[in-house]
Amino acid sequence: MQKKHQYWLIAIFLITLLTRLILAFSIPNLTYDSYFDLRHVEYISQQGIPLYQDSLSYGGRELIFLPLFHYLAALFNLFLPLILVAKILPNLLFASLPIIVYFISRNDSAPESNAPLFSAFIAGFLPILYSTNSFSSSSLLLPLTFLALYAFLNIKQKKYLYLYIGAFLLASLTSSATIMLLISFTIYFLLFILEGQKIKRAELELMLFSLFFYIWLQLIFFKDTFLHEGIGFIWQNIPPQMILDYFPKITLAQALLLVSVIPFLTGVLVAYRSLFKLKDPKTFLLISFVISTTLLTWFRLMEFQLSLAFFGIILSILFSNFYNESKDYFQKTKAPQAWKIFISIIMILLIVTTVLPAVATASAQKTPPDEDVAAFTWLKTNTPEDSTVVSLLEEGPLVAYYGQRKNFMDEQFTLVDNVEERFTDLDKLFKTKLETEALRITDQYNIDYIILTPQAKERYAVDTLPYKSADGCFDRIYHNNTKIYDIDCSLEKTEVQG
Amino acid sequence: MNKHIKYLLDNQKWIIPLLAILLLSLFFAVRSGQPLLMGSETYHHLNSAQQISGKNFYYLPLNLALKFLPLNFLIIIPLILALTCLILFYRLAAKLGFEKGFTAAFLLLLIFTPTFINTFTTISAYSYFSFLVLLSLNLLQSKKWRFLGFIPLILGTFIDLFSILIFTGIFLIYIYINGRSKEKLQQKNNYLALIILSLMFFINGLIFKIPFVIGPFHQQSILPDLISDLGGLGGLSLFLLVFSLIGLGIAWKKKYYSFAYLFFPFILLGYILLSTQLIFYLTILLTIFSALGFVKVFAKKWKLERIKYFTILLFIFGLLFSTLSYLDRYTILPPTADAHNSLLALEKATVSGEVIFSDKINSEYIIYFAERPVAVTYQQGADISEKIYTANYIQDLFPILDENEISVLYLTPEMKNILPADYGLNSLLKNEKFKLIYSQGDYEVWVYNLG
Repeated sequence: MQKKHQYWLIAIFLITLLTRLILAFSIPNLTYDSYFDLRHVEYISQQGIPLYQDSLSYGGRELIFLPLFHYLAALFNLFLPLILVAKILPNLLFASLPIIVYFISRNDSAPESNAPLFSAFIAGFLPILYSTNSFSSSSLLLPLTFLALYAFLNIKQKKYLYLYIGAFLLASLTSSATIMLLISFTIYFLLFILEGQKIKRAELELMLFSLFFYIWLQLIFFKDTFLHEGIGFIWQNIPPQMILDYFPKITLAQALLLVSVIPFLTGVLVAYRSLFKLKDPKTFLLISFVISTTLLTWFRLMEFQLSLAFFGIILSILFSNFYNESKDYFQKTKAPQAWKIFISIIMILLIVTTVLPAVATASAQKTPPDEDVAAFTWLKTNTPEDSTVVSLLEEGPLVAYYGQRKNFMDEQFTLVDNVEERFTDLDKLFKTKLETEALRITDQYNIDYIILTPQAKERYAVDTLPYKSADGCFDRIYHNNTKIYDIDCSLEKTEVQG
Repeated sequence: MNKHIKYLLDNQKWIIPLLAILLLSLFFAVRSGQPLLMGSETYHHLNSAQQISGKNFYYLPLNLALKFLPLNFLIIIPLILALTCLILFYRLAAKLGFEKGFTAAFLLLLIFTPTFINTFTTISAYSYFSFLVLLSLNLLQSKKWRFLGFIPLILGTFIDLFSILIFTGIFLIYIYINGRSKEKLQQKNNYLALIILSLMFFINGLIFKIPFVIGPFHQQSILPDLISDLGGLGGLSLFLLVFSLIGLGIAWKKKYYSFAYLFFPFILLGYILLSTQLIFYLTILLTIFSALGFVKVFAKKWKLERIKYFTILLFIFGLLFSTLSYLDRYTILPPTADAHNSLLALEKATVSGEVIFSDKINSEYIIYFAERPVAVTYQQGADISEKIYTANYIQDLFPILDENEISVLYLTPEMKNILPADYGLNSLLKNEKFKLIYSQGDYEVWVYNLG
């Protein structure tokens, strides 16, 4: 690598990291779902093993997950407080993406080209990756997947073979979404067959090995899930009412904004030229990635955010092809000096369409306000240890993390029986006007407390529980903007009294 | 070639059957303390054998076995069938010139499939059918005993009509492969066998009213019944399915194996549209493709030789994992010891002729162990079941029970899981017309005062 590129790459890495950290620390707390992972990291730090029998989620249930990200965070937790780890580690991992993207984008035949630096910059400021306060395994999955991809592209050299195996094994231990890599390989293989080209033997062998390792690992971890949920395991037992939240209907304009307009337009152009004219294996593999993420999202097998993140990074890699091709094109015209003007315009456009939306995305993150955190923490000291607390679905991890009490429901749906019915009952608890109906639900699930946060009030357009009457069945015990109700009655008692 | 693999290939005729018997015995061993034979199909055949008549004369061997052997000793039947099937297959493979590598891969992969294990640890129609087909083909090949080959051929047609079609297909291929045989008698016999099969298709369909596909004997579900890792009663491992996809892509290059393509759409459509009971044929076909894929992938020298060994290890671990996971589930497949005890109690607590209501999955066990008639089976009474399960008031429930003369309700843990706890049948049982006469664990027997 050229010295000049080295400095630029380090600069891009540092700027990305710094921007991300500034945003992460200027926004209070973490995103709602982060508290689930945070609690599991905390448990691993204390006990050394993952918490697969979670006594607080859904009032106690079995919950199997791939633990590598949590172990990595627990390792950092040895010398940093957990809340700092939660803000620094994911951002550090995301900031490493520009480096990987740089190496994937590099063209050995044109080592002096600045194209990979542009790609690295785009990857560093992709708006879709700017959930700076999110603490989740996707921050490890994305760098590992692209590292595996980079190694796969250079498999001829032995060191890359080991790098690939290492990256793939770690990615498989991080998230089941690694299947996307395998589907991409299959599409890559099919594209080669369609083109009448022969795929390298070593590549085929690695694909088969990866496939078997992936299946084997999934079977080991998720055997019970497969047996319990059958083919439904693919959809993670998500209640039908929630499907749209996981796989939202998003407009093209929104998607463009999240992956940035310039990389999208140039990516489409490069993909077209590669597929129908150039037939370059590297681009074939990248396009296979795009096709596989699109398919997985189309069939609702992959979360939309993650799919868009993969898509955005691939577009940033494809941008380097566009850069090189357009430079070549300008050199052949009568005005080669126009290239500098062209690339300056592109640069300005890139800054406008990546950096600004990235900052906007970070600012729009949903995190619990401090007063909510105070209310959830209050539960820990003011309620009996084995009590069950109802909150909004996304607030479930807060009940378990800050309150250390059983939640009624959270967003980890796998292996939960009658999840659809439970979700309906949760909705009813905030909506129903009938006290008897509310008591039937609280009786059925042994619920002790209901927490009504400003977010819940806004969602259900209520200021207090709609069925709260004067008989004192729902006693308000926490009196701030966030309210906590103690449930004093059960339906049997009420009937007897009546 | 690795010396261990060479040893396996040279001695596969005894290694693989021995391995199969050990594996099947292991499955019986884990069921100690409860009836060793499991599954609705087993008890369906046992019930049919007990009620032998002119129309189901083909149950005579099983009827005799039932008379002379206690229930748990009947495990000898599937074990003998498995062993003879493997021996007969080897004899046939040698005559037809199958490659050693393919034969070993096919049988090794097959014996570890839950379909094979399920078929050869139960009294199953398809284990009997496999034995008869292989016996018939072997006898027809021999010079001395070929006339005897028609007996198993005819007997094999009494399973179901789909199997006759499969049998005919196998025979057509067999005739094609043996087409060059100059022996006139052999050719004559082949054509005679085809004529017999065609005739039996109509005779069995029209006179004996043999079903198109036997069963069903369990709650059918297309994907879990195909992929055992998803919790099916049989099926095959996900790993094998991957290899069968590879095999599907290369089988056309192999001279005789390309015939498998002819069966594939026929069996796959039958499996999806008619009955997942056909998983037996689908498994055999997919295992043929898997074996082809397996040989193709691993017989070659790899560029990344170390990766090859890791891949083989992963494959073996994966296959064993699926089989062990199936073994784990096998111990709790019905009838369990608790279910057995409750069925014996049901027999004691009721009088002969009283009609029992329970879920269809329990019907064959009730008939066999409690010796009582049932209102609902896989073949009939679905509407009765639906009405009883959804009845919310005694005005809905009682007329159904009266109409069908149901005087006893046999509830199992599986049924209790489905039924709502605080309304429906569970709540209606509190009525004075019902009396609980047996309760152990989650097994309950309720008597209903008819009328």
